[in-house]
Amino acid sequence: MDKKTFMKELEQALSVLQEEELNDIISEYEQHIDMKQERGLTEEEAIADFGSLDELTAEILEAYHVRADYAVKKRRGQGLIPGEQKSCRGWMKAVWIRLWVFLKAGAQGLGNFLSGIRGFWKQLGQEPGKRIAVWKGERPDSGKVMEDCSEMSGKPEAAGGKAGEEEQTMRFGKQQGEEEALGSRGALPVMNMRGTAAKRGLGAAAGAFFRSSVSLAADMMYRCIRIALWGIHMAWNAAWLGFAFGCGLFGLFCLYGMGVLMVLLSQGYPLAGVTLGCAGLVMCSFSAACLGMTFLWRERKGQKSQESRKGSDDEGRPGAGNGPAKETELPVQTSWEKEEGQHA
Amino acid sequence: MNAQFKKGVLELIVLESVRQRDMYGYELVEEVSKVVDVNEGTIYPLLKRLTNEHYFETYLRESTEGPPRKYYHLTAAGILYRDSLEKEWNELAEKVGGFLKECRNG
Repeated sequence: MDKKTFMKELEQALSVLQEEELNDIISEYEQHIDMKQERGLTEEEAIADFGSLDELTAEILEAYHVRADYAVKKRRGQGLIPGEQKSCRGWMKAVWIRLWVFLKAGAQGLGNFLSGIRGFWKQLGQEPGKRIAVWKGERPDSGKVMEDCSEMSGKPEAAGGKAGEEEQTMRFGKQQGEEEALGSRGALPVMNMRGTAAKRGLGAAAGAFFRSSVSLAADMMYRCIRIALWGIHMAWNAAWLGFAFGCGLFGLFCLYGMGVLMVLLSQGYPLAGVTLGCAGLVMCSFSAACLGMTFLWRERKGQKSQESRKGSDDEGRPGAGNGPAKETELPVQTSWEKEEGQHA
Repeated sequence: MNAQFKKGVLELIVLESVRQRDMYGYELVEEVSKVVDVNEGTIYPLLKRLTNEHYFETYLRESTEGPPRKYYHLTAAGILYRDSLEKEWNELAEKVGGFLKECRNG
């Protein structure tokens, strides 16, 4: 075989590769053969050293993870190998590929993190969630399952087929979050939903998604309102505390002043009026401080009286109002009171 | 020599040779041939594979004797890979040698 024929056949056998790669390989082999010729070998000998052409091309293709029989089929086709690296630019592409993989992994991790936060949020919002369920008139246990059963019978395997199922698996992830939020769910209803979720049509999934998103929105709003209220509560307390403290300081100052004035009065200065005025100021500021404190005081007293009302079988001990015996009777009220107790 | 043996150690020899200094294809074939008699047809595909797996970097350097030559350079990953290969080779040689020695003596 002479050089030209060898090169041509090599090129044909490797035609499945990208043009760049192909040219690179061809030129390298050509160089090699030329150099061997310089060393004194003939073309024939130089080429014979390469061994069988088929084996050679098979091994080269292996380096690109191409099956040899695939290459044969595509012998006259265009280069189809995606993204193989070439010398100088190869490292950049490799870096880019690695960056992309890293970004994807990061995005996945972020997604996990966000869903973890969402789970946490749901857990925090479990109490309001219960309340929302009560407001909506759903009983936490069987009601939702019954609704879903009717939905399922209505649209068994409606439009959507595969696409529907994909969407469901996506939305199902969100739904799962919802189900946890709407609390006090037995294991069985959840498993029912899981088992039959795959059979639902697109419409049912959309309906469920809408419902759960509405409840999620309501839940979040409620949560925000609660936080706002708590903030105002704290601010109110802080304001009155500040006021009381300020008045107390002022009262002490005036007390000191009054003492000075009394001393001066005893030494004969005509300061009776001022001294009396100072005494008056002292009494005013101290009483203002007490007023401020009572504002705080009254809240705790109110809460304590509520607890004592609730825990009537606790023999009227105000502090021990969180008796667990009463919780099962009025689940909603108990959680409300408990939260009030926590906040105040 | 047994073809399987040669195939097994070829990577290690190639990596070690390039670690010594950057080489181009023909030069490398010559170097490796000093150690084991090897079919040139297998060297180039091997170089291609190792380059695609980022153990080698390549660059072109002008030459006085013709067209620019493609030189191979060992990357950091390549160095690590070479080290692991050498370690495995030493382990294998030790174990097989020890085994043969035992059998010979015992």
